[in-house]
Amino acid sequence: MMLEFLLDPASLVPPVFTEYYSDEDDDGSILPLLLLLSGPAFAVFVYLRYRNTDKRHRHEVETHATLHDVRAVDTKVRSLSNLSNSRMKGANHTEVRANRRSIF
Amino acid sequence: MTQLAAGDDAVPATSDAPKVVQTDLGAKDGLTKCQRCGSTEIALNVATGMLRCAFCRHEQSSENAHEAFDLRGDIGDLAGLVVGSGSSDISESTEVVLTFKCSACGAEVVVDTAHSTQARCHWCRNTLSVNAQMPNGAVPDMILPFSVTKEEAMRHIDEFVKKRTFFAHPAFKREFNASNVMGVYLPYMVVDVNAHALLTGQGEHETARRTTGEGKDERTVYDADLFDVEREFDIHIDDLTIESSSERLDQRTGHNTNNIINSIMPFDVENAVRYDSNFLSDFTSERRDSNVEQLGPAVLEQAKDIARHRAIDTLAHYDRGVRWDNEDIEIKGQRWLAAYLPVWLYSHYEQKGGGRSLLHYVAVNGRTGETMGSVPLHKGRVALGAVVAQVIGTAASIGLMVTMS
Repeated sequence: MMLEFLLDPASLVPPVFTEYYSDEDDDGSILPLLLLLSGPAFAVFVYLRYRNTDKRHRHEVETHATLHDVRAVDTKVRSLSNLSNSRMKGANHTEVRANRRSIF
Repeated sequence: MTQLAAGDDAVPATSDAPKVVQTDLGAKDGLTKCQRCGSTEIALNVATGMLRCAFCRHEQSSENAHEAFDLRGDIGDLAGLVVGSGSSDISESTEVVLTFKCSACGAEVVVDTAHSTQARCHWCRNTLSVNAQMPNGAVPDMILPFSVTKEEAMRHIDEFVKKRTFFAHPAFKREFNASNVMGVYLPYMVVDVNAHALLTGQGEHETARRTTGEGKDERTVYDADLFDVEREFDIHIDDLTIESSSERLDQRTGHNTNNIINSIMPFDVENAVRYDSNFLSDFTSERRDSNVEQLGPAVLEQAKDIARHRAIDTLAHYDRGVRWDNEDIEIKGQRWLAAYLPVWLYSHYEQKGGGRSLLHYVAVNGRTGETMGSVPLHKGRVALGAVVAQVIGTAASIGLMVTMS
C-alpha cells in the first residue's frame, strides 16, 4: 500500500500546495515548499520515464493539414483591468479532446 | 454502394451511399510466382523496399497505392464518403480461417487471416497467398513495407532499454533480449478530410502589466482588451491515421500499453504500395476489425483538434488566449483507405499481484525508427529512491528556510 501511495500522483500534491503554486509569486519563497515534495516528484518522474504512460501520437500537430479561404472577424468588446491571472480564464484554443489514453 | 474501378473519376455524391474505389483489381489468391523463375519464395528486401525472389534474386517494384488508385487528387475536391474496397464493412459471417487448394500439388492448405495472409503448403512447400479482398478485414487497400531492418530495430530497443535499467523490474532485466523483437503489420485507416470550420468565441490581448502592493502583498496585475473572435476556413487534412483494431484502439494505460504503439506515429503513408501478401513473408499481421462507421466519431474528434490547432496560427494577437464557445466542423468529403503499417514490437509479460497482468511493449516505427516503450518498474527500488530524494529535499528545504529567515 505504501508503494501504491508513492506511485499515485493524485494523492501526492496537497490542495494547499497547488493553490500556493498557482500564485505567480516567484520571489524564491516557494522553493522550500517545492523541495518538500522531492520524494513524490522523484517517484512520478521515474514512473513516467519508464512507463511512458503520458506518450501518445500528437495527431493535432503531427497530421498534415492546410487552411484555405480563411475569414477572420475580430471585434473589440471592452477593456479589462486589474486581472490577477496572466492567462485568459477558460482559454481552450490549445485543447486536445480526442485523447484516448489516461496517464495513470 | 457505388462501385468505381481504380482510376475512375469520382462520381459526385448524390446520396449518403459511399463511393467505393476497387483496389484489388487483378489480385489473385493462391500461388504468386516470381516473374523470372516461377518460384513462390518471394519476400521483402528491406534495403530496397522491393519484393525479391529467394532463388534467382530477381526484384520487382510495387506500384504506389495513391497513384495506382488515382487518389492524388486535391482534397478540396473531395465530396461525400469515398472508401477503398479494402476498407469496406466487415461481415461477421466471413470466415477468418480460409482453406485453399494448392494449385501446384492439389493439397488443402489452411490460411489463418487473423495473423497472416500467407501459408506454406505442407506437401510441396510452395507459398500460397491471399490477395483478393474479402469482407473480413484481412486484406487492406495498401501496405507500407518495412524500411528499418531487424538489426536496426534491435539497436534502437537496446539503446532505449539501456537508459532505463536501474529501476526496471528484475524479471524484465533478466529476460530482456532485443533479438526477440517481432515485425508486425498493424491495421490502420488512413483518412483524407475536406472540411469547413466555423469557430466563434472570445479572446484577450494584454495591454499592460504592473506590480501592486508591497512586501508579502506584492503581486502582478494585468490589463487586457476583450474581443469577440470568429474564424471561418476550409481545412484539408491529409493522411489522418487511426488504429482500426479494437484492441489497439483501447489505450487505457492501466490496462495495456497500446499508447506506446500509438506514440510512434506518424508513418509516411504517402509511400504505401498496393497490397501484396508477399510483403508479409517473415512478418506477422493483425486483422482489422473496425469499420468506417465505428471509427468515424474518433476521426471527427481528431479533425476538430487539428482544426483548432491550425487556427492558432491566426490568433497571434491574443497573447492571453482564446476561449472558443462554438466549434462547428462540417465534413464535406472524406476518403478512407485501409492500410497495414510496419511496427517492430518487443513485448514483456508482467505478472502482477492479485492475478493482474500487463503486457509491456517497446515499439519501433518500421519506417522512421522512432522508438518508445514501457518498462516495468521495481517498485521497492523506486520507493527507496523516493525516500532518499525526500530526505535530501527536506534537508535542503530547512537549510533554505533558515537562510531566508
